[in-house]
Amino acid sequence: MSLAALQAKFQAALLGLDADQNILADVKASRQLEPAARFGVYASAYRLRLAGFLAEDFKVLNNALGNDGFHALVEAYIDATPSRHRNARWYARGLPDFMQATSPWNESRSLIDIARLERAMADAFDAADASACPVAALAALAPEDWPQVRFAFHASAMVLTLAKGIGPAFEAAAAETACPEPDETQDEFLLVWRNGEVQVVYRELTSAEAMALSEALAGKNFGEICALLQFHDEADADTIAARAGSYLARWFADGLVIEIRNPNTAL
Amino acid sequence: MQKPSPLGFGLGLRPVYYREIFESKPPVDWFEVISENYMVKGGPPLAALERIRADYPIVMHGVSMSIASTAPLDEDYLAALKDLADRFQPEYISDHLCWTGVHGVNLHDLLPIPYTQEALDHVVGRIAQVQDFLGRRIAIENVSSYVTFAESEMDEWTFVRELARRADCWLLLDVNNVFVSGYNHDFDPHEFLRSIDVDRVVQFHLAGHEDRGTHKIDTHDEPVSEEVWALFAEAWRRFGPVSTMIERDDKFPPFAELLAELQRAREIAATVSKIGAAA
Ligand SMILES: [Fe+2]
Repeated sequence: MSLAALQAKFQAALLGLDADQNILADVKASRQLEPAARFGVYASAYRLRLAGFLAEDFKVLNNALGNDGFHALVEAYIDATPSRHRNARWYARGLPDFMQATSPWNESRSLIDIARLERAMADAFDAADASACPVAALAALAPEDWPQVRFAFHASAMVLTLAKGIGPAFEAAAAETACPEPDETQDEFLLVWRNGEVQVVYRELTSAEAMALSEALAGKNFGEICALLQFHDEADADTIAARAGSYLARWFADGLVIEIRNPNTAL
Repeated sequence: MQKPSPLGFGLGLRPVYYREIFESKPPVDWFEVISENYMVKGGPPLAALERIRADYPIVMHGVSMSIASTAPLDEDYLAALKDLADRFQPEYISDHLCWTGVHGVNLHDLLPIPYTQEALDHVVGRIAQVQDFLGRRIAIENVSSYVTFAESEMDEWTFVRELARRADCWLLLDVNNVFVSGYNHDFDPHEFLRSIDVDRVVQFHLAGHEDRGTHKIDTHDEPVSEEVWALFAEAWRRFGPVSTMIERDDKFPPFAELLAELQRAREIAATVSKIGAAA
């Protein structure tokens, strides 16, 4: 048998696709151990290792589901999803989408959203580095340039739309304390980012700020963001510009903005 | 063929110990880092490695090269490895004599190969490709294994020796893996050591394993066993001085315990060297 054929056979057996255990014919016994037990060392290590990756990245979800519930989810995910990634975290990050797509986990928006928040925090952890832009840089903008200005954000910044009360539920599950059930019929908006290159944090956004920030993250300019806010709130232009300005000030204070892009001064 | 100079006595760099390393600047001669842990865009892992690298030499040790796989080499992985090496300037780069998957699947394990002429030719060719791409010799580590393939045509040590000669690569000799595999495959670990060329071995790994009675498992979650210390003395006698380090990947003890284990490695090496010099 070629090396390629042997590897394909060995892999199929590890993935549970070799019901007849054909691979055992290729394995010799040792003085103390039969082929099935010898191969079994690899088979059990495979599942344990993947389960370990998931447990590492979803500690809060594990608490929220309880050990038995989490174990059932993990086993189902491993059966459905061989890893195609070298990085353990890339494998684990498919778990919220699997929950969303698979019964019975798709019945609980709250649990899926806890998993999504946990994944976002893991993603933010090792997103690309960039220094925050000082808010003083805004002073250099001419008033007539403001509408065209765009902002570049730290790569870790993410806006999530989750069930109302996921923040407190997440904290409670992390601390293994009780907490009121999230309201799955209402939304809550959370901004997740890495602060000062060391700590992953999040804060709640109003729906207006969440909309403005999502647009800004998507590369919309300040004028477009104001127009959307106006559509959202129907306030007068000065009120809207002041509100957008206050959001922007907060984004700078959070260290989210890494660059101001003024097309009128670009070369 | 000039081996890289011995780095002394090192430890595997693990995130649980970052803080202690930053604060106490422990007397460790060098650190071995898991390459994949730093193949990220930014954040604390890379910042930590920058700090460590400012104070210590490092070697980069990978688990994803899959050098013995029949799947094509992962060019993205090799490019990421090269970028990381350009940034952190390791003394050298190592990975394992194993495969990790085929058909796009990663089984996240160091899987065994049959010791056949076909496998030898295949791996020799792959190492040449990798060494060309990286522009440097790599070190290949012997793994712990749990199955013996009926197809094998030669001993593991013959395979490893021939591999190093033909591929012109270095060897990272994992003393614990020699011991564990010897137990699992009923061979004499001393015979393994005696068969490997002295001028190929640039590094030793020491680690703990779990004894299941009928077999032993390479867990890296216990102190180095007495039998492995004895085998290390034997290895040092034959190959030393060689860069030596302890791998610990689970049930992490206080850092001081690892330093004490490392001190024992130093003392064994010093004793063996003294006897060698006197003889
Ligand atoms: Fe090792």
